[in-house]
Amino acid sequence: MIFSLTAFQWPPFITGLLAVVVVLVFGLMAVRQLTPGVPHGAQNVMESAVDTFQDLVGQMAPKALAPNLTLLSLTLFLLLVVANVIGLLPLPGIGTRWIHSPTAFLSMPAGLAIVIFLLIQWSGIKYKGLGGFLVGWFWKPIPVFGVVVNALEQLVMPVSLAFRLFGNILAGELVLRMTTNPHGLSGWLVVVLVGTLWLVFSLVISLIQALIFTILTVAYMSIQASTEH
Amino acid sequence: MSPHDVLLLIGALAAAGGAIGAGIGNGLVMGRMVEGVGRQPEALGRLLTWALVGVALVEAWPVITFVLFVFTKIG
Repeated sequence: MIFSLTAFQWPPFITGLLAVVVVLVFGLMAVRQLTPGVPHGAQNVMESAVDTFQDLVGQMAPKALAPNLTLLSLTLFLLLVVANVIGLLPLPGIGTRWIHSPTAFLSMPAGLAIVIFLLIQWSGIKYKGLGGFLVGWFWKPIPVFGVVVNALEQLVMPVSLAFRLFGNILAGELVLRMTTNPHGLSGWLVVVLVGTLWLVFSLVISLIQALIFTILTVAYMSIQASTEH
Repeated sequence: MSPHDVLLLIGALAAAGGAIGAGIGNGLVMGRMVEGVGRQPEALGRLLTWALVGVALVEAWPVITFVLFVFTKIG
């Protein structure tokens, strides 16, 4: 069994780098030959994605934070989509050995969640000022003892982000391996019917989980950066 | 029953409880979405998007209990 909670392993490292390279190449392709008129190809995809995320972030984030947050959330979303879908590639032979989603191992979601936790605190300091940030941490629901509530709230946030993504993608891959193994419990009929259905379902789950991670990041950063409450 | 069996039983019960809770939660989310569409049919697109986000949020914890159960099984 390759999946483990703690051990260092090469497959997620390699496929994680692969995902980064894929997103980078796609981004470079999209901006290589910019045309002002009606875009086509990669530029078209990228423009509609940027539009969608501008709308999404504009509804939630404060004005000052919105442009930066749009770029961050779009990057995060593209990276997570590619990273989640890599594990579903049907490559017989090397598939079960090397091709796993990097997000099916705790290290990548946890690393992302830690970075996002730090970014959330940074956005609090930058947009509320150090004083406002400290008041928000120590004085908000009740004076002094509010820090307990806030610490709990702020620490549960990255943990739940990381475990949600990790659990969903890992469960998707595990069930995929179970249902598409013709030598195991299931016969060919089960592989064709259940395996195909699960593959489609898993693809949808991959996209939705990438979106959830992104939306929650935007929401947390917006809450921390907004000054009115 | 050996200690490992007890562990397996606890893991399986946790996964079952998570599935029951998520079933109720998903039913509530999607039911409210259908109510909303009944009141305002033109809001289907937006409601469906956010309902799916809500379903994915609800669905995360049973999935995590399932993964923990698998980890109890394989050691």
